[in-house]
Amino acid sequence: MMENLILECKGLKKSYGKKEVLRDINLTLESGKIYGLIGRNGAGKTTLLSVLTAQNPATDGEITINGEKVWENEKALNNFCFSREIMAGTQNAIASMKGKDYLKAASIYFPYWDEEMAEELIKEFELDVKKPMVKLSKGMLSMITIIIALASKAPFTILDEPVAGLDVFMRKKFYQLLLDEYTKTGRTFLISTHIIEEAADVLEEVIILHDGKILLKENTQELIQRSFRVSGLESEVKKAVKGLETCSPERTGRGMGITVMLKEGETIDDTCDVTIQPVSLSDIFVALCNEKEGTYEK
Amino acid sequence: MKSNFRYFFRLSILYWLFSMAYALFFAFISCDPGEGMEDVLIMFLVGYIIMNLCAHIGFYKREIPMAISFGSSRKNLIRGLIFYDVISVFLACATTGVLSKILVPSKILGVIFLVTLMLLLITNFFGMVCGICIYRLGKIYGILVNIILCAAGGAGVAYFISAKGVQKISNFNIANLIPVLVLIVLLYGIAHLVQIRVLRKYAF
Repeated sequence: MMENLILECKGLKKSYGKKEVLRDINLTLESGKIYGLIGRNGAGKTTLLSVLTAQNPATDGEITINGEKVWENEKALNNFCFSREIMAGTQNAIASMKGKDYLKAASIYFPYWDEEMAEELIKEFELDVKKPMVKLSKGMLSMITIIIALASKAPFTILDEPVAGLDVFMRKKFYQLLLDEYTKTGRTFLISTHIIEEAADVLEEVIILHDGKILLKENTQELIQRSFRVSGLESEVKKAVKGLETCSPERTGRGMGITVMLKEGETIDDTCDVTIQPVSLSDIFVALCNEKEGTYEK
Repeated sequence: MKSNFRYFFRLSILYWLFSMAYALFFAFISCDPGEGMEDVLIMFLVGYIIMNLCAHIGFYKREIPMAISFGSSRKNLIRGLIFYDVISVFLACATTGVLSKILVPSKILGVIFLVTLMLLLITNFFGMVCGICIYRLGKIYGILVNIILCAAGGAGVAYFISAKGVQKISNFNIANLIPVLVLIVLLYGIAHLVQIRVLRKYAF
């Protein structure tokens, strides 16, 4: 099992010129968990991941691992693998490499690299690593990033949209491989994804990033279990959810639907004439991030 | 990361070997029969300079972004680059010294040795500038900057500072320089392709 590491981020800010991409992020990631990072396009997910792993300098704030700063700290950096999407295209010098050469480069830089695992995964994915990466499909490039992430054996492994371009069969295979590796080693994984429902069963904790801020960080199952969609006549719905944390109201004529997130000890007044339904993680995400249609009310 | 230094060391040896072969080829095809060995040596230096620039550009285009994406610190990379530069300068000076001894009268051996060292220090700097330009500006503009600096810095300095060049300054005619510059630009393209397609294959 892996050493107990705690990655902490305090007051993190990141700006590109005048544009503020990350705003006062405070985050603690404990070892031995699978975290999911979800957010809309442009929310700042990739920026956050690149700053956490010191590939991008923060404008302000501090990132530490077990109290030691991460930035330009070789010992701290040895704990990370940030496997991100490889951009194919003839203008990209890295993409012009052959898959096997890129994997060989990865083996040089990751101190815990497992060559046997990398070769097994290449066979598992039936990947032709002799081809230049610029000739590989988006799905095959995703497989390479997955191989690097898993074979790196880094205590903190971060995957940015690892399943982009993969078909449903390969996505299921990825989640199974991830769980197997997690069970065997107890490594920490942080996965950013847009395919929320598929990943929900795998993610132990979910972090929702919206407009450069963390909206929520919570155990996935607990979040799902305390969230409901209440619908019915507007007057009844308002009575049923009075005093509760709600968001994303939708009105259709005299009817209304609203998402409720219960705190400990709270309940929805089920004596009212309303329909109470469980909501999925993606519905919770949409409700929380919904700027135009709803407000986040306490 | 010890493996980082092994990688840069092997890369520097490989670049040196290919640079020597390339520079010799460049020198002999660019000099007319009957020209003195000093001209051959000068063009040899120019060829080596081109290859050295290619190496730095390659680093900034690919090796450095890749290494950072794999978690290497920038300090470690700079140490690796300096390590590569020290080895390549030492090897180039040693090779040029030996060739000078064989090809030219010993009285200008010292001059050529110093010129080599100075040119390589200049081109290592230019190489880093060019590499950063490619990294920051993108391939097209970066290569344009590199060609201009390569032609001006490498060929111009090599030509004028050499013993022959000093003699020819009073008779300088830019038209004489243009064919050399065109040749350098053309051969730069070949060097770039060789570097990308062949050298890195053996660097790991």
